[in-house]
Amino acid sequence: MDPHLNQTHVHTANEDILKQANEAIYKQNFELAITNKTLSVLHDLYAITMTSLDVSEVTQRIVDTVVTELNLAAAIISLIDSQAQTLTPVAITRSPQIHKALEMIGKPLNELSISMAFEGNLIINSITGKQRQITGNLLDILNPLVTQDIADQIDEIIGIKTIVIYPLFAGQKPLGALTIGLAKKVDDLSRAEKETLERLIDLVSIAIDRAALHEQVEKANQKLQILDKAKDDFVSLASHELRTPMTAIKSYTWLVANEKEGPISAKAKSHLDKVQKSTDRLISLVNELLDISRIESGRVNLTMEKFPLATLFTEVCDEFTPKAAELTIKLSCPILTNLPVINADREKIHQILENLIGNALKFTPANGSVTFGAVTKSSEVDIFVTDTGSGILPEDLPKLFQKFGRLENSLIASRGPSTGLGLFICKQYVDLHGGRIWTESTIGQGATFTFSLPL
Amino acid sequence: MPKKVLVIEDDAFLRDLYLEVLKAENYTVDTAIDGEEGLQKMTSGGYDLVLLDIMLPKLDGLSILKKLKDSPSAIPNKVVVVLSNLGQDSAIADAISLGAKGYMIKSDYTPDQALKQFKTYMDGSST
Repeated sequence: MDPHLNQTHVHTANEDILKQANEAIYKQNFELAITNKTLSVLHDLYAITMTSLDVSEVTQRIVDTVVTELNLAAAIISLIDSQAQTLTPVAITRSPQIHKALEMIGKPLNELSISMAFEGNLIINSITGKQRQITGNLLDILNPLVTQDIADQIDEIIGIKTIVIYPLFAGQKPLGALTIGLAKKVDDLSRAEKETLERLIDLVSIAIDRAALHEQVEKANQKLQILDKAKDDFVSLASHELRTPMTAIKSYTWLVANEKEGPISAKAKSHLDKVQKSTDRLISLVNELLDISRIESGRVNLTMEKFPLATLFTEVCDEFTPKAAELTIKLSCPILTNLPVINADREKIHQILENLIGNALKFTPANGSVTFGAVTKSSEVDIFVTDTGSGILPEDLPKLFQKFGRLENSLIASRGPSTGLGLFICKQYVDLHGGRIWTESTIGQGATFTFSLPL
Repeated sequence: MPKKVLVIEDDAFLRDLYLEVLKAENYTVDTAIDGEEGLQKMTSGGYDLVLLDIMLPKLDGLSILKKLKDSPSAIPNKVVVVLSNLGQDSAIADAISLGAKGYMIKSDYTPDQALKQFKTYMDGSST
């Protein structure tokens, strides 16, 4: 054998192996590069997905990202209007060529709608057929908006040789399509390009779907806010309209009853007294309804201030001592030493105390007693009101702080019906302060209502 | 010299009520039946106490206060108190930030209680 020949043979074989190895490495590098690129674009798109922009912003950013990162000539996102069943372009590459092309078509983007029923448009076909489409003919995607003539002219300007259409779906729901334009002529995309684009499509669909949902939620929210304000205004107005005549009744009755217009008989005074009490009940009811409306529309704001609990207790004591005396109930006011300074909405705490003591007086028989005070603990102060009424059944305890949770047997036990709103309002105010409110009771002996306030 | 009070209240019954109650205490009382008249009288000024309703025809109480901020009264009014039956916290808060000293919910007060409050406001201003 010719040794020379052998060497050449081995040399060629080595070259082949080297060549194959090189090709393999090149291929791997290339694939790595694609993966890298894909990941990079995916990352950018993910960032877009996570922003809560509206649909037009999201789609424009997607179009810009995809074109830049993948070196495309152009891209369009078209979306379906499900009510009108039309397809409309919402975002397009903003290059001078595309700008010129749009000028030639002569209409703004949002007027370029096509009916989803039209079968002569490749983008629509792509969506209805749920399949990627490729074409070299611009008219395929512009039909029926322009003639072949105009399409050719546009073609000259933008120089796109291949158009690929990807339908966008959110689950089963068709959203629209992403249409890309390549400057080179291909019968099909390279495997690399296909892979990248296929991975992007899902993410693009998610981004658009999310933005659309966000817009819907925003609109619903705005509507709710308008309705809420309307309801609040109504309640406010209604209370104003109710309170005005009630003020007149209350005031003029008082003037006559207090003999400002001349002496009146004891009987007349007693009648007027009943008128006044009835009016006060009405006014209380309107006030409660207004409070509830405010609470429920989240319009309650606490005006926090630091004040000594002793001062508040003194006010409350002065307020209720005459009423208690009238009912021959002993009202025990607390000793005012060693009471803390609290940080709270003074008016609301006053209201809570008024409600609890008012209730206690209602549910306690003559010659009974009502006591109120506070127990200071390390991180909170517990303010309590105790009565010697008939008590509350264990199964009724949970109902107390619900709206209209008036107890069944309270018709008999109380001194006049109540609306069942007072305790509900108390609980809301206590909750707003970060405190708790609860009841303990022994049937036949009475009940204690306690609420805590953080110190 | 007796103190001067201005009552800006569109409801006739309530306006008469405050007029009667204040006159019985020897105050000099002026009244206004709508926002425009109220603004006019507040601009002339010189009142020890102005009782200002918020819901008024022609010009509401808040707008009156805003306008007075831009064109203050000839002679200042010592104390302005919002007298309202309106339930809107925001309207009341706005009034305070526009210079009202305080507010009273009309339906909360009997005539004697209201008078007591008026005096407290007036006495507070003279210190």
